[in-house]
Amino acid sequence: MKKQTILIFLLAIIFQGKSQFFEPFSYQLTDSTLKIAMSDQDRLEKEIALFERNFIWIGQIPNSEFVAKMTIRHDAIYLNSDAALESHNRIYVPVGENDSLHRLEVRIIENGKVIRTQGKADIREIKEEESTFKIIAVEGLKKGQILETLIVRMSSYSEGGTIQLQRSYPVKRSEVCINGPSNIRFAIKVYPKPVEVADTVVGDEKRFQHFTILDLKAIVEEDYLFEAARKVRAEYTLERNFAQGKKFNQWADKGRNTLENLMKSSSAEKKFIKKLVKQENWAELSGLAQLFAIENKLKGEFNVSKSYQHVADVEKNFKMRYVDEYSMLRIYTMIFQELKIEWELIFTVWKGKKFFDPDFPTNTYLEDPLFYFPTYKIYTDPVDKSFRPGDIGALYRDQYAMFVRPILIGEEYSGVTKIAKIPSLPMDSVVREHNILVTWNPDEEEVNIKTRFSGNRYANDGQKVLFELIGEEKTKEVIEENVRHGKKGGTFTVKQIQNAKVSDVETYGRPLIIDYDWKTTEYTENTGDRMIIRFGELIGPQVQMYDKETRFNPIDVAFPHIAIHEVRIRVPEGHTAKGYEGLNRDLAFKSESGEDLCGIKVEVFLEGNEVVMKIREFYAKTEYSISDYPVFRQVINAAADINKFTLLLQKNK
Amino acid sequence: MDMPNNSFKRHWLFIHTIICIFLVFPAFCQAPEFDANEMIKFAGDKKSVVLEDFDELEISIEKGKPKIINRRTEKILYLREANSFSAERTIPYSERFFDLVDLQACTWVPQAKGGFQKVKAPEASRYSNISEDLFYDDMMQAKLMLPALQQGAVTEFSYTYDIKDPRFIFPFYFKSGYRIPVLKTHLRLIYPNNVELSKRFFGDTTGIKSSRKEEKGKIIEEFWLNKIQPEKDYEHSPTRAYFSPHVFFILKSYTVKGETTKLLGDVEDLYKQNYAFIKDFNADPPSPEMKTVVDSLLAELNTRDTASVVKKLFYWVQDHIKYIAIEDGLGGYIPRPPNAVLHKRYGDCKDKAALLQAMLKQAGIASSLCWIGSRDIPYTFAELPLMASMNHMILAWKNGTKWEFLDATAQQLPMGFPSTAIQGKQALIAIDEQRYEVDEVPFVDYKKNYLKDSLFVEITPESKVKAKGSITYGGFVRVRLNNALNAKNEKEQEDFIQGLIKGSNHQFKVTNYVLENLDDREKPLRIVFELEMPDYIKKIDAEYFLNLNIRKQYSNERIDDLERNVPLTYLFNIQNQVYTSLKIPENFSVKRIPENKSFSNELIDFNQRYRLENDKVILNGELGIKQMVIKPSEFNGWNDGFKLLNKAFKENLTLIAQ
Repeated sequence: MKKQTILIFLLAIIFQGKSQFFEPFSYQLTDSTLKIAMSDQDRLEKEIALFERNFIWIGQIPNSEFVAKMTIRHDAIYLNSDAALESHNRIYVPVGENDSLHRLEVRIIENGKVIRTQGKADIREIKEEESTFKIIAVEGLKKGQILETLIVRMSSYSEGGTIQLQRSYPVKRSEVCINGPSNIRFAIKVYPKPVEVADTVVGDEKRFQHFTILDLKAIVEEDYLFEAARKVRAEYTLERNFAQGKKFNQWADKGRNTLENLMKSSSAEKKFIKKLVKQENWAELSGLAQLFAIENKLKGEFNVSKSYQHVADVEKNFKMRYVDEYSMLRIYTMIFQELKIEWELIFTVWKGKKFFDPDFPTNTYLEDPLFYFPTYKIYTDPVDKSFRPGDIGALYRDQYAMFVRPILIGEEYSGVTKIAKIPSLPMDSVVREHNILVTWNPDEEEVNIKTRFSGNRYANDGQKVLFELIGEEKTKEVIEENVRHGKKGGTFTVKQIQNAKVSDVETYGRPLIIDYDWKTTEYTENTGDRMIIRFGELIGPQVQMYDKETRFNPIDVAFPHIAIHEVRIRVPEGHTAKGYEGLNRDLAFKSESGEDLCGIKVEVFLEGNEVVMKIREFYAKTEYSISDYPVFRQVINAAADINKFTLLLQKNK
Repeated sequence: MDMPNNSFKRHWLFIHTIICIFLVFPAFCQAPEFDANEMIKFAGDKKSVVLEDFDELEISIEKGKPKIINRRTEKILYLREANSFSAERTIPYSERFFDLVDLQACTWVPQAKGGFQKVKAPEASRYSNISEDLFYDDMMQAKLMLPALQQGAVTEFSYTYDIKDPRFIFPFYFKSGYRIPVLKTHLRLIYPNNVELSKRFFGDTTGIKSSRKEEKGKIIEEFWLNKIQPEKDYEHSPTRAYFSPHVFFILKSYTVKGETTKLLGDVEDLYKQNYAFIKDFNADPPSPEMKTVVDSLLAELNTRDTASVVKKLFYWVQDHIKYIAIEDGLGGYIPRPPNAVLHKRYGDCKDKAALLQAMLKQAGIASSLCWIGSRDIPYTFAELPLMASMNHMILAWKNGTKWEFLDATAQQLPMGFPSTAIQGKQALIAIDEQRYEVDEVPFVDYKKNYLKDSLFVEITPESKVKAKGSITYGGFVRVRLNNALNAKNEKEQEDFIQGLIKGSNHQFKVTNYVLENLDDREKPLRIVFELEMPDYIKKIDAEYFLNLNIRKQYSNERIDDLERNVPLTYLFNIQNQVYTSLKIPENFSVKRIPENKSFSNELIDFNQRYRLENDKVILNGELGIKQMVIKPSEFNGWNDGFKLLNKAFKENLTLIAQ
């Protein structure tokens, strides 16, 4: 089996019938917590959850017509360090617009006895823009105690959700149960490794779908890891209503519904868009230039945020110039329709948060909108001001997504849905390149370092958008700060920045080029009158994994890429360079199927009066399995080794 | 400078044309007036300009009491497309102390046919205003979106505070704090002639103009500053209060029907008002829990020596009362009852100080609560007898004739050390209702805050370098490290410690380390380690080069920007000592040892001494940073020292293989 799943936890599945068959409205803190036996090993932990229960009830609120969702989070955590106390003595419960906090109770348990309780009277409220928080400062918490917390929230009914199971501390027993009427069933899937979910119908009326994971280890923090995406979690979504014989949550339904709602517009709105299109002369343009012009207009004029109030009136949107994300999508689609641009709507999720599962249709994967233009086979992000047509955030690539294509049925639009992967960019289209020339006048202490940086697509490190957002002067300051890496000395001058404007259709596709000079002693040392140049550091500090021999999680890389460096050190007349011999390396690794994985080639040689170092380092994939780690680490460390290269310049005798 | 492109110029012709036609609106939202060409020139490469930052403070006497209204208006001209940073505005307020009674905003949008169209901002939303270090605060903020931002538009944003307590009148900063140029900042004071209002100016007030007139019993004073370029941000700079021109207002007294009511004005008035906050907060007798805790702590001591008891209780409060700050009405000023704080095991600075006071009292030791301003606040109490000169509470006890200060909010702070943030600051010490003292918290000498770095380096037969060593942290250096470690999880701690050992040499491999004395704040914290330093030695022909300055601490302190006009500040003074011993392998000899170097002035002491001792080359290095604040006039002297230090750090030792 491919070792792509986490090794650090041991999943054991047991079917614990009755303890999970909770009653939502009478769920209580009971004495059972007081009787939990702790092992000596448990007591050695700085922080350990003795149990964590995530119970969800869906049904009709008694004596009402409302269908609602009740979420119960109940845990007991043994706290045995100051850090653990600090992270648990303040409880924040987010309560969304459609939620209410039903109960928040806290107990402190010591030596099997409850020594303190807090509840309703101790709750304060903080109202923030995105949500409201109910908060409690836990009183009297000390090391060696168990903090038991019960949070019960009521919210409007939703078809699905995510339950985070893995924590920064171990959980001895993690129980999940979804309780609903017996005629409905949820699909439940645990990631990254599936767990069998028991399905029990009690008395023809209630259905309990439940599972328990024992000894869930804490996530191990590692470099090159999308931690949130790799944590153990459960997704659930309504799957069937047996009474109606209906299947829910198919991708096709989700896509169609989303698109049909999005494309509803009034005749006044259509008229306004028609006028706008005419006024902007967009019809006179075609291809990429047309898409560019539309995006420049919209991204230049609008402030967009998910939190802004939705106003379903495009004319008003244009007047106010700030919109919520959904309104922005409406504006785009109306313009595309008016201009008869072929488009598809995409919904997906940022890979740093979750890996989209094409086989599990749920709304939690449909967080962020993008567009795809089949005619040009390019993507665009309607909101992110860093990008223009053809580019989207790196973490949406190599990720599955829901694509919805509008089709006209009669006079109304509907959508045809497919699930497909947004392809990764090949590594040779993301190239970061540094050409560096070092010269030294022996009468001076400092050396001159002349650098040309060139980076296309993601390799421009997000610097392209800075130019327009913060202006040339500030951009130069940021560039200097990035290059200096904390080294303060010398005179630094950014000479030229080319292709920096995101909104310039002519130069957008070209690599960002930055020329800068640095006169400095930061890379030199002396031994008497001889100069030592630490030329390996000129490529910037490289990540090293010398100490990290064992890997626990797969390796996540944001995007495939190539890094090229050419460093030339000009040897002054009457001087000799020494110490560049024997530094060559050549590592290139392929998978069993012959695909490129990663590699690095380093050549250092003398060419005329210049010592030349050429480096080509590549990472061809976005995900490497744990079994690939030894070769990945080898390449990373080989690059880090370069930082140690030094050269001696001495006067000829 | 960012040269405007052609399309920009075109747009400006348009704007220039339309601004010739002004609309007239009464009061708030009057169509903007400005000279477009002048504004382009004035803005430089910035995207916008503040046309006016206006602040009006009006004091009147209503029903025998002062009524204080503060009106503020800001007008910004957008010279180019506005970006997403510009649209949101938030205004903090407190219903109890300074309520937001009016808030209006609009955007003046240029019209193709000339003139402006006014687009009104929608209603503001109201949220909690919680700063990072508070758990709860009843302060609120109103947030609104400025609509229709576009090139040539002018936003107008206006709000009014009802200041319910003269102690909370805001200062006025003439340089406003904007990151864009400001055409004019303007302050207007309106108050009746039966009110005595004192103004205290701070910072460089050059260029500030003023006028004063009296009309119908009202005094109208105006102050303004024109054409202000944004103040530059520098790292390690003090707060703006140290250098930026600003003025505080002290409502000293008012007279109604011949009777004068004194409010504020001197330290005595300030003390009286502050004392009201602590007069009655601890009316209850010590709780049984208080007695038990204090008794048990005393029982652990085999002495009743006052200093030992103070230390025991001081450390206990530091360690067992977690910092959770709840600012709820007067709860932000009045300490909570010590019995409750002890029971809850959390509190803020004043709660912790008051608890320590109660515990000491239970142990029979008298102490005094003190108000103090952290080093972010530059004023003495005499200069500014307002609550704005204080933001913290500590405890003082008299050791003989000398006040000793105890900051129970700090963590891992040894007895005898103030916290870093209150060094050199005045403390207002509460003796009783009538009596107080003002005393200065001492600075800690740089030799007490030390970092000692010892390394014993060997060259293996394979010409690899490895070392054993230790880094020892004392005084504030220890406290800072201790706090940093406490804030990290296990993995982060390990990475952090490895980083300390490696310094900037991230290619080194730490093979082993032990952390000593982490739980004993009175002993120096020590990291003992073993290190592999592959390729640290450079072999060329028969020669080997090696730099004994391994970690090069403080190599980056030079001030490159000599135009910097604000001081450089440090949290504390420090001494850094380095001892590196290299064992010379049997078949090697020393070809060259770097020269010794030293430097000393009133800011820093530095020396590096190499010596050959039997089969070892030893480097002894010492650096003392003796001042916490380096003024611009001292930058050259500072740089001279660090230039030499950096040169010394670059020197390599040369060995030769036999």
